[in-house]
Amino acid sequence: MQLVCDVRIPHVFGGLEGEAVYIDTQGGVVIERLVSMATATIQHCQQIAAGETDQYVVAALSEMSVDRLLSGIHILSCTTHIQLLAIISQLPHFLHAHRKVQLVVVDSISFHFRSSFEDLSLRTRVLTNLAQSLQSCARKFNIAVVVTNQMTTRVSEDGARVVPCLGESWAHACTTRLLLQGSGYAFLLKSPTNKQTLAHFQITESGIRDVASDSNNVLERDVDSTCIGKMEDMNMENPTKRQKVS
Amino acid sequence: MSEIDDLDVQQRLKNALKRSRLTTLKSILYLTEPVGNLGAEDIQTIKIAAAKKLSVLKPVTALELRNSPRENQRLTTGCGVLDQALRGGLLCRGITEISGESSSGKTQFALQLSLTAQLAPRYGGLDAGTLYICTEDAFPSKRLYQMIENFTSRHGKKLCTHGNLGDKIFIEHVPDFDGLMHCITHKAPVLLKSGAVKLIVVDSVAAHFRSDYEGHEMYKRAQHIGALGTLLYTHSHEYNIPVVCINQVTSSMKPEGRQLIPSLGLSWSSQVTIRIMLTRTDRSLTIQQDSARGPLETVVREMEIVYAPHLPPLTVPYVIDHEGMKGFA
Repeated sequence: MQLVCDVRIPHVFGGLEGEAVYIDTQGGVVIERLVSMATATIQHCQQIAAGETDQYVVAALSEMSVDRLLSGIHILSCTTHIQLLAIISQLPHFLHAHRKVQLVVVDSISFHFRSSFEDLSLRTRVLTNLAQSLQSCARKFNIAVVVTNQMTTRVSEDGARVVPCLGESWAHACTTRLLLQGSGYAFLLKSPTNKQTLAHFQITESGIRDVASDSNNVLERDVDSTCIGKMEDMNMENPTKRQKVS
Repeated sequence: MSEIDDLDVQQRLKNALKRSRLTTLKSILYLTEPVGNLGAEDIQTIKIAAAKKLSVLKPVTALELRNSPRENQRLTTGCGVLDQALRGGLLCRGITEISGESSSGKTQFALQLSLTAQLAPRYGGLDAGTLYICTEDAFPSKRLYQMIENFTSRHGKKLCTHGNLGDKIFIEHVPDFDGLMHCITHKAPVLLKSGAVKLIVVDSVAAHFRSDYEGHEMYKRAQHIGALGTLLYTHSHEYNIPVVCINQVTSSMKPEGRQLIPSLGLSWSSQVTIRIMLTRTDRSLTIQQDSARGPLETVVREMEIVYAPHLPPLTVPYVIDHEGMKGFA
């Protein structure tokens, strides 16, 4: 949700000023929360711009409103994996009609796939195909695609480990992978441009924010396993642009 | 007559599909590579037509959602303090899980919600009944009747229709997983479609899963849990109703963190939208009741919001008296 708000930030503030598509598979979008994050995003911009006299900044600021921010976020819901496949098949058509979209979020890709398939090889084929469709949308329309994934327990001879869902083939399909832990750590697992690093964040009333710390060094340490809260793995397909978590 | 007959594509493509025995929309959407006489482009065209038939894209902007009353509807718990912690009450979408040790007040909470659901919408209710599915003990009728008496005397004016509140609570006892799935697959939609029921309670979701599966059947158990969760979520989404699942607790194997965690593991917790835990503390409180009864000494309990998409983690203390749960600051 933080990303869909951030993508709406105007160019003068360093944002993409684009629209977003949010595909919600598990009812995680509670509009009241999105509204409070959107309000905080605007306040953040207002604080940055306080005292600025540049005409573009002033103009952009006066046009910003919660209503306008929300009107650029398109939400699609689905309840089964077939509906999700149907939505993604129609996505290129939608993106063609809505050229301002710069971000597509799928939350989450694993929710429906983890339990409805008995034939795992079919599931792998379908998911790989899905990933390819998303990659081609990202390239063709020059947008970022962010997908969330859940965690599952893998039982092996060494015991049980908590790993991202959907197996190895899904792991290969994504360009960038970020692992989020409930206590506020984000671990960059895979990236074409950066090495593996850890970042600290917090979830506040306003959304996701940095944690003020004395050292700028990023720690490298083992990522712990799950707590009873949710732990999510975010997979990103992002051919050209960097995503910033503000 | 199959699903593809009225698909919006050329006849030659439909014929090719029939020759390759692809007669359901599902099988078309599963296609990943050219098959039969159909090239890659043909496959694309057919997939898009199938997708449109299955689910026409109806995107809603966040602005429209914010202004829609359906999105903002909440089910009140019957207590102002608890409602405030939940920012209005239970979400009318997704699965709300209430877990806790025995006698922490889970069934009490569920019974209370079965009554508040019958309140008029402007008082936080849904003006409809409840489907209460019992998987372990018998339904606590005596406790319910006691609560109905107190509820009617206190909230009588806020109900839309009058009559016995118990009549609107549909109780089902199910002996095992298959019985549970049958009830939710076949009986629930009948009640939901008629509008008789706008709340589903499963008490408890853990009972069958903890006892009916052998050690080597864990994968099957995870599949079944997923199937149950998906079915409940689908009903919740389609009819815009809250689904409340009561869960038991189990000991955590980890040395740090909390000692008791909700049972059924990751496969269940990923299905849950809002997780609430109830605990008994070792504190007690003497509360003043109305003049007909004397003061009551009762144990203090706590309701903890472990996670919810729109709520910060929070713990609210409460007590249970003859009228139900009462939170306090």
